[in-house]
Amino acid sequence: MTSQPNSGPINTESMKDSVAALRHYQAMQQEGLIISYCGTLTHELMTTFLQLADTKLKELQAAKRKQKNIINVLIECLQNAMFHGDVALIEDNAEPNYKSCLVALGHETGEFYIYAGNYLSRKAAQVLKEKLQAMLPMTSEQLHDLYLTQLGSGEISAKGGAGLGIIRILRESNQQITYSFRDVSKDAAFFSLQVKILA
Amino acid sequence: MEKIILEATSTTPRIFFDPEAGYFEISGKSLPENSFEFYKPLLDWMEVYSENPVSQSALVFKLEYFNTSSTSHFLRLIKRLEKLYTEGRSAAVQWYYDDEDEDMKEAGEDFKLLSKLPIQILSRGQELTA
Repeated sequence: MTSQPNSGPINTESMKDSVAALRHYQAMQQEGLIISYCGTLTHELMTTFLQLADTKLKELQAAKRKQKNIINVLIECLQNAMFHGDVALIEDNAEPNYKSCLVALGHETGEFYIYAGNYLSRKAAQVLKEKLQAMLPMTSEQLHDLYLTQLGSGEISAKGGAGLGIIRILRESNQQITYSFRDVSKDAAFFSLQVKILA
Repeated sequence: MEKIILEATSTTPRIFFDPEAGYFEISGKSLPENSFEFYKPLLDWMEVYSENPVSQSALVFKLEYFNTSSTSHFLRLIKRLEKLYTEGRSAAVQWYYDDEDEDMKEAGEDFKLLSKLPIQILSRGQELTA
């Protein structure tokens, strides 16, 4: 669903359109992108993205276990991007559209990549950063224990599962993630996540 | 007490809760937009069932995909049955997984670690015809 909503008026000059399409096509090819979505997410779009990813992974003949890993990571990334929630707390919430996000799936020889990016408040960014810093050095056993502790605690927020999503992303990818936070205003930051799944 | 039968959608599982048979099955994909809203009525229903259960109760999971916010609700349902079990009644969980889906198998094993209830982890190849 490579999608660029609200990308402005349609250019009726066919030559320019085809050049733009070629440029996008080449960029996606170079990046190894299979699916890329940029914009505001809804539950319906999330479902569509997952169906498309499922079809493409089957077409690429990814091993069944890897297909599951990738879809599980996408589920959590899409839900995180959709429910990061506290954008309402960002005071300058007019521009850019802080509910907008990026989710993409890429493939290179031997590896799949999931890219996810979303805005969040700088305060929430700090909390997430501290969580990731604490979790990344953990052994898989420690991460599993943390998962069980969190799950067993019975804490359920209205939107999510007590921080289980990020633990699941780490476990599904064998902690093969990179991330960054960039402050974009006095209140807001942009969270970028790249998850690698070996094919 | 009425049965609960909800057909599956692309993001919510099929629900088949039969109080007379003591059989409660959740199957398919569990990625509800709001897992709390989806599972709360089922948890409430299970609470009422627990007051007057039949002799044997079985909670059966046959899932394809689920999100982590669903797992907390699965555990709550399991804990409802665990209460019956610790009171001396017969109650169990059957957790099915596809042969190639190790993650689903491990998810079942996680619940086993968190509950006193007997939890059978079964390959879909071993599925019993109901």
